[in-house]
Amino acid sequence: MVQQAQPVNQALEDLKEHHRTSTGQSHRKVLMWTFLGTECMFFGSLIATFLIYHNNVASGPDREHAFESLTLVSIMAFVLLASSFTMVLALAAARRGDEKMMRVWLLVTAFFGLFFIGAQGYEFWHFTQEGLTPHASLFGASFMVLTGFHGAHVTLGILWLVSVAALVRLHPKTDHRPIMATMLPKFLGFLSGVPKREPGTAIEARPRHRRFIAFVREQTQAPPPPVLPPDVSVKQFEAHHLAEEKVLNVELVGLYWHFVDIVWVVIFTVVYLFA
Amino acid sequence: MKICPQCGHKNSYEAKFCNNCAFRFREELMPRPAAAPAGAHAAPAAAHGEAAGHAEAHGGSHHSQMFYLGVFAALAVITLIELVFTSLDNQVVKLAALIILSTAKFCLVVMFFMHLKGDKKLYTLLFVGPFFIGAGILLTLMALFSNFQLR
Repeated sequence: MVQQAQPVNQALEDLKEHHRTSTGQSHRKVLMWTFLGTECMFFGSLIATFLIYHNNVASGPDREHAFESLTLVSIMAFVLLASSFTMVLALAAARRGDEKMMRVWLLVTAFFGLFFIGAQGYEFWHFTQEGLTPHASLFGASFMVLTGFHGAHVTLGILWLVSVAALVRLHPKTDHRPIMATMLPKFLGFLSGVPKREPGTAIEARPRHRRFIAFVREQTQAPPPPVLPPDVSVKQFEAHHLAEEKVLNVELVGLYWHFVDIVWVVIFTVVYLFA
Repeated sequence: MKICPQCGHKNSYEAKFCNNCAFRFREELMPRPAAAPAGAHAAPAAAHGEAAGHAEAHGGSHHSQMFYLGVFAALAVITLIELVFTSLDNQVVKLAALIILSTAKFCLVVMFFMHLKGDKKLYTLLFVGPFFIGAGILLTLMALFSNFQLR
């Protein structure tokens, strides 16, 4: 079995780039890095706003008094760093095909994220009790907008992590079809009230939205399948390709999570430690 | 072995073109023999269509769990050092030390946890370019407005 499997696997490895784009990279990964680049500018602006306004304290505690104790925020920093570590372990598990450990590490990461959000909620409540609110001063507003947006990113990341842990299967069936490809046309047909097209009807006779969908499908059609070597079946190739896509799902949520972590690295230093 | 994606002909790894149909191989897309994990990963991946053996499938360098543990330990130690530096009275030294330590943490996460080190240059460009734009925005806004004291 092993003797036969190795050349087949080698052939699959040789073919793995076939489905790729003109850049040779996965569009989803390129898009994620582009998104993270835009997030750098977004958080850069928020941090700049905080640094400009941190001395403007009309009422409520000022920066030195608000951040007198660093115990809680230091624990939050350690927890988020630990979550980055468990995230990278989840990706490593996905890459070696260990679905169970991948799921465990993803959920541990989500748990650390929940802890972080809980601690941040407590911190906000504590500040509110001391009179530090978004309405109290520009310092309060810029601080809460910055850390609040980061908290929102963490929350989104937790939802994403749990979704990936629940939905990603590293051993997919080859007849799998994305739900949007099957449900969207049905949903649009339901909304428009147009009856289902009878077999044999010309495309021009279809309702407008169906013509649009057909046009989009034609324009975004995947490249033709490769000419496979005789020792590689179509099923094997599709399974291999799908497995790569599944691992990429974990990699993308990992990139997002690590980015959220490095944003906190900067916030921890600039907002809390500089005080 | 390099298999032509056009005709399926098997060529040597050094081949620039397919010997059968003259298809031009793109070097950056073709896996090298050393990059393909052999042995333990090969059989399950082929036999079950699993994700094993995909360590290089999306580019980037991948390390052992002990390596990642080492990176995490380094991050934790740097954070502790940061906390120690906060008690310094000399504001200039404190500021400089915190910036350096924070940058070190940032780089460790980006290079090793996000695997930007060893990954495709395109991703570095996509991330580092906007990062410097963001840093430029930060410095510009601070230079423009930090002297105003709004009441």
